[in-house]
Amino acid sequence: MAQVFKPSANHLARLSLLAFVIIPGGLVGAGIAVSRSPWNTNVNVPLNQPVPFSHEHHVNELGIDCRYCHKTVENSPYAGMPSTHTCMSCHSQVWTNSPLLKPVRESYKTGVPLVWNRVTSLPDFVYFDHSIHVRKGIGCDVCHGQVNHMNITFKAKTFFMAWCLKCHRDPAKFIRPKNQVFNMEYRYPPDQSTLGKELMISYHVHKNGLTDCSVCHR
Amino acid sequence: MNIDNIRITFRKSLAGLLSLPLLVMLAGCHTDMWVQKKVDHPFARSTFFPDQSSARMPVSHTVAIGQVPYNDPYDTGMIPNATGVSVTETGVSRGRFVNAFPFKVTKQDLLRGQSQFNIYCSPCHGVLGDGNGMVAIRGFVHQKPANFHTERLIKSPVGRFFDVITNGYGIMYSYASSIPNPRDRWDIAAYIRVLQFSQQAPLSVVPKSRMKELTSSGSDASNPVVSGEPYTTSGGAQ
Repeated sequence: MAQVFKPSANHLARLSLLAFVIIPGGLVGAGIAVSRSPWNTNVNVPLNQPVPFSHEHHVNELGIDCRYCHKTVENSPYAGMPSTHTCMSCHSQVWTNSPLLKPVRESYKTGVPLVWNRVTSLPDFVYFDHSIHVRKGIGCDVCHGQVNHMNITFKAKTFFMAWCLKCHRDPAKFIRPKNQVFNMEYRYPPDQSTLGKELMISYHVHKNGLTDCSVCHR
Repeated sequence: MNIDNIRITFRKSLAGLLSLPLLVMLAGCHTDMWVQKKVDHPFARSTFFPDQSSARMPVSHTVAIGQVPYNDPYDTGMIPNATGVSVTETGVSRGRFVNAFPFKVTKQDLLRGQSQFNIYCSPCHGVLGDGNGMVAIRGFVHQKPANFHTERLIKSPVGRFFDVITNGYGIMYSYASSIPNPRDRWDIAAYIRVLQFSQQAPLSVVPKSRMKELTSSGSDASNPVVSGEPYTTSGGAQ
């Protein structure tokens, strides 16, 4: 009977050892890919909402400031969602018969708030505070992307901890003048590295401690 | 140590080794601390209250301790206990408006007023306060927002502006919840006075350094008045 394995099979046997590296590596890689994919992070996935609210229209076309609706962003950990009263302060006059706005009118009549689907959600052990970021020169779009160009709002960044740390380790790259925080079209100047360091000094942003666990977790 | 013990130890460690990947997977199931049993933000949905809102409205006809001393002009814009004059056209007699600011207005106040005005008022009243805000232009068919440069409003006492911001007027809703701090409302009232002055002021009061912006029309019209707030100035051109 002829031999099943020729001498060259020895090489194949040795090569097959590579599988011990490739398969676990591939599995780990696949895991990473899945966890970072929009399927897991919801990045760039527009969410269905009770009213198809368009930031593109309200912010970019009409020029309404972020704070008209997200009014507590400068003073509170939470940016704040507009009450139905806020929507109706214009929509009692504008687009009053639109079927799209029926849920808003219903909510105003009954006092039952609209149930928006949360676009950006942090784990309960993260204590994020909007006010401190806004007051120290971190623009809205740094984290939320160019919401002013979103028709249906979606998450623009992963909000992974590593992503937060990118800025907490080196704020000079992201800090901007305070009067540009709500400028959604802000472009960082070429000399950002020097400007950033100057702004950190004048806004009293100290790098030491910014990466302490207790800054965000308690 | 006999051979049996060695075997058992070996099996145990093998089981441990095999369950390691399982542990890694378990580490992915972090529902314990991620979703805690608390109202994690003021807008969280509640299953407890029928209206599903976890934030509660104040009980009607109640005032929290330390909130709104009703007779202080700072909180009402009214002369305390003044009798007689009915001022609103909505049929509600609220009293008489004060015509002086209840504190010394500083430049800081005016700048704050400018920023607050541009956020909350300019969509309808326009950045100039002439009633030609973008929202009003696009959709207010029945009634136009007030133009602050009419004689009636130039002569109007400042308390009136405070009162309208607080309680609304005509088709305008109350902005008390948007602008909860009375100081901010006074600052807006002060900025309205600035706008009114700006439209009535003679050329002689314009500083020489800014004269150029007035005389040269066009090219540099990216409006320096509210620098740093581009979409209130550019009118949101697409």
